[in-house]
Amino acid sequence: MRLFTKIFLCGTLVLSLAFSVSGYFLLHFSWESSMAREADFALKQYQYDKFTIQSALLTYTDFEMSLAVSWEDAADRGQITTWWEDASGGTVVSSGEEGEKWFVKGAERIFDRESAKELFRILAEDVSLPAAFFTGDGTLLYSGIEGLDASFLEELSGDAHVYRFRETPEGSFLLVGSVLEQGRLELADGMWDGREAGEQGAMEAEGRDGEETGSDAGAEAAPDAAQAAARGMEEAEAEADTQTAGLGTAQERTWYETEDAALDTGASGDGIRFVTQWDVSKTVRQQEILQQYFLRCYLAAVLVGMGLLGLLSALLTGPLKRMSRAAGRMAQGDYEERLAVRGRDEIGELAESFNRMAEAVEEKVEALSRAAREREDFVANFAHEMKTPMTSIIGYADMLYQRELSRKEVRDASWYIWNEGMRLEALSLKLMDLTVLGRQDFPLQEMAAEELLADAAGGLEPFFAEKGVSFVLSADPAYIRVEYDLFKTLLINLLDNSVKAGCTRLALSGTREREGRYRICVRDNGCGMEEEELSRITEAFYMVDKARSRKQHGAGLGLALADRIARIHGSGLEFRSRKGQGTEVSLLFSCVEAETDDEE
Amino acid sequence: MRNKRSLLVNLSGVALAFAIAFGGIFALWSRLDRERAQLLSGGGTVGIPAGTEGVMSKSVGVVDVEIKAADLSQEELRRAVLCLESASEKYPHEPVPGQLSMTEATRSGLAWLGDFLLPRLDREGMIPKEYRLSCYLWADSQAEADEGTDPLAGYWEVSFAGEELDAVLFLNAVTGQVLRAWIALPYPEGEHPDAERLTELLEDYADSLGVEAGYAISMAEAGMSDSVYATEKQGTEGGGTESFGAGDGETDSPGQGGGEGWGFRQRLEDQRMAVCLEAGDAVDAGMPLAESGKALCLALYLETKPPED
Repeated sequence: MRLFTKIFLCGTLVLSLAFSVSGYFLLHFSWESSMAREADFALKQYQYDKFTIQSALLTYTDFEMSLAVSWEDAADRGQITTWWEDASGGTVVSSGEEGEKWFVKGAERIFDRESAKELFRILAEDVSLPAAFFTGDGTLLYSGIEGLDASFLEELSGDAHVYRFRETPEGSFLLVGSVLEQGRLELADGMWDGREAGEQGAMEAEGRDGEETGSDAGAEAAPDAAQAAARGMEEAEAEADTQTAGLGTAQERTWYETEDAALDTGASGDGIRFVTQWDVSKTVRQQEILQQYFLRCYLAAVLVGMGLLGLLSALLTGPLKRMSRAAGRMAQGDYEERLAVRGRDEIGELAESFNRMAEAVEEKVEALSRAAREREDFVANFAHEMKTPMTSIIGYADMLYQRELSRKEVRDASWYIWNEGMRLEALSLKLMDLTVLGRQDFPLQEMAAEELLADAAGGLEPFFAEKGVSFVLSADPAYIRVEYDLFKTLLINLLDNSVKAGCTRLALSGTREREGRYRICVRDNGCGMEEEELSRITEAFYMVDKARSRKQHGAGLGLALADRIARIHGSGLEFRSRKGQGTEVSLLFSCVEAETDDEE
Repeated sequence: MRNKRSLLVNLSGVALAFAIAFGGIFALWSRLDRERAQLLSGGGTVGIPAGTEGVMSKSVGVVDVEIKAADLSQEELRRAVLCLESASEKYPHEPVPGQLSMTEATRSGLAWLGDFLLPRLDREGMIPKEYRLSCYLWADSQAEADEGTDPLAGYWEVSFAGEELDAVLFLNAVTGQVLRAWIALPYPEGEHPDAERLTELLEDYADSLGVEAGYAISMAEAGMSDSVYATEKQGTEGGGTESFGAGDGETDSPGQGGGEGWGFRQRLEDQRMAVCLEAGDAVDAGMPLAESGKALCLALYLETKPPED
C-alpha cells in the first residue's frame, strides 16, 4: 500500500474516531441532562399540583375521609345540599343544584359515577397540566390524558412520586404520579339514621335491603355498618348542639349504601391515584435538532478532513517521489542530479542528505574514473617506457647475433644494451618503490629538521662537487614528524632533479613559519619549466624533456615518487618555476619548536 | 500484474477510509437513537419521606382552644422566621419526618383563626363554613426540599378563601405556629376595630410565640398629628419601639395603611425579634375579599432584627 493511502487511511480513522467518541459523549450528556432537568421541573410542578388537589379534596371530604350525604324532606327538596362531617365535630356545608344528582330519596342511587367524574373534572381544572384520577383498583375517575398505560398506575404508591417518559404520535411526555394523601373515599356501607339510636335494628334491616337491591358490597358491609353505626352514635351525641345551615341538627344525617364501584375503593381504603402529564416535546425536539446538526457537522468535517488529508498526503509524498526519480537517474549515471531543498523539516534534511550523498558519489566516481585513467596512462606509459629500451636492446642484440661486427661496433652495441638495461633497472626499482608506497602505513617519528636536511644533503656533496653545483644549506631548528628513509628519499629526489635540470647553484632551506609550520624549500637555477608543465610533472612517467631524462636514465617517476612521499607525510609539493631561470619546490610540515640551549 | 495488484490495494485502502468515515456516522446515529428510545421509555422514582408526626401546638377543636406557649425556642423561632424572610425561591416538597401533614397544617390554621384571631376581632364562632383551601409546603432551597435537612426551615402556606374570610397563613412546618398571617374580613364600610383591641391582639400574638418584648408601645392612627408621634416615642431597655405614621409602611403585606383611608400599625420588639401588626381598609391585590373594598385587612407577622454589634 502506498504511503499516500496509508496516511489517508490513518488520518481518516483518527478523525472519525475523535468525532464519534467526543460527539457521542457530548450528545449523550446533553440528552441525559436535558431529560433530568425536565424530570426535575415536572416533579416540582407535580408536587405543587398535588398540593393543590389535596387542598381541594380537603374541602370536599371531611378530615376523616368520609363522604356523607343527606336528604331532606320532600318539601325542601329544592335545596339540595351536601355536608361534610369534620372529625373535630364541626360541619362544613355547601350547596349544590338539583341537577347534580347528589341526593335522592330513599333507596335510590344517591351518588353516581358521573358525579364523581364531575368532581374530579372540576379538580383537574385547578391543575395547569393534563391530569387523571383513578381509584385504588385502577378504575377511572377522570382522565385528561389520552392513552394512559395501565401499567404505570400499578407502580404508583404513597411512598414515592413515580415518573415515566412516554412517546406518542402527538409528542413526548413525562407522566408523574402518586397516591394522594387526601381523597380516600370511604363510603359507609349500610344505612344509619343518627336521629334515633334505638332504631339501629331498623338500620340493619335497611342495610340488608340495600343488599337485596343488588350491591354485593352490602353483604360484606354488615359488620362495617355496625361499626359505622357505633361511630355515628358517638358523634351524634357530641354534635347534639351543632347547627348546620338549612338542615337542622347534625344528627339528621343518613348514610347510604352505594352500588357504585367507582367510589368503593375497597376495604383497604387505598388513596386516589393522581397523574399529570408534562410535555417534553420541545426539549426532545431540540435535542433531535442538536443531534442532526452535529451529525451534519460530523459529515462535513469528515469530508473536508479527508480532502485535506489527501492534499497533505500528496504534499508529503511529492518530495519523496522526486527523490526516488533523482535516485533512479543517478543509478543510470547522471551523477550531477541534485534536489532542491525546501524547508528545514525532515523532508528538507533528507534532500540535503541526498545531495551530500550525490556529491560524495560523484566525487568517488570521479576519483575512480581518474584513478582508472591514471592506471591506464600508467600502464601505457610503462609499456612505452619498457618498449623503448627493449627495442634498443633487442635491436642491438639482434645486430650482434646476425652480423659480423668490428670490435668497435660490438663495443658500441654492448654499451647501448648496457645503458638501456640500466634504464630498465632504474625503472623497475622506481616502480617497486611506488607500489610499496601505495600499500604500506608508515609510522612517523619526531626528528630534528635541521639534522635531517644536513644528513640528506651531506650524502650528495660529492655528487654536487662532481657536477660543479654550489650547494647551500640553511635550516631553522625545529622538530617535524617524518619517516626517515622516505623523507631522505624525497629530498634526494628533489636535489637530484635540480642537478639534472642543469643548475649551478642549489639551495636547501628549512624555515619555521607561523602557527607551527615548517617549510622545506629546494631552489635551483636550472632550466626551469613552463607554467603549464607544472601541473603534470608529478604524474608518473611524465617528462618535460624526454631526451634529457632518458639520457640520464630517467623514467619520469622521480617526482611522482616524491609527491607520493610528501602525501604520506601529510604535505604536498608546491612548484614555482620560470623557464630558463630555475625552479623552486617547497613542502610544508607541522613542527614543534626545538628547545633552546638555555632550556637544555 | 504487480501494478494492477498495487492499484487494487490502494483503491481498497481509500474505500476502507470512506467506509470508516461513514460507518462512524452511522454507528453514532444508531447508538444515539437507541439511547434516545431507552431514555424516553424510562423513568424513575423519588421517595417520599415516610410518615410525619406533626407536633400540634394547639388542640384541634374549633372551639375551646387554649392558647399554649410556643413550642419553639426563641432561637429556633428566630431561625424559622429567618428562613421565611430569606426565601427567594420556593421549592414544594412532601413533609419530612418531624413536619406536619397537610391535614394537620390545615387544622392548625383553622384552629388559630377560630380560637385566636376571630374571637379577638369579635368574630368568635364565625369560622367560615365554605372556603377554598390551598396548602403548600415550601422549602427555601432545592437541597432542603430534596433532603429535608432542617424540618424547621420549611413552612406551610395555607390559604382560606371564602365569602366571610380571606386568609393566608404561613405556619412553621414542625409546630404549626403561625409566623405570618394576612387576613381580610368583611367589615362595614367606615368602621374598624379600635386601637386598644388591635394592641391587645398584637400583645397576645407576641405572648403566644413567647416573644418577651420589654418595650413601651407607641401607636399611631391615621388622622393624628405628627406632634403626637414625637411625644409618644420612647426608647427602652432591651429593645425599642417604632412609631409609624399612616402611610409610612414599608412591608409588603396587604391591607397596609397607606394613602387615603384608615390605617394602623404597631410593632413590638425585643432584642432579636419584632412582632408587627398592620391594619387598614385599603385595597391590595391578591385577596379577593380585600379587593371588594369592604373589608378589614390585617397583616400579622414576625420579623427578625439584625444582631447588635
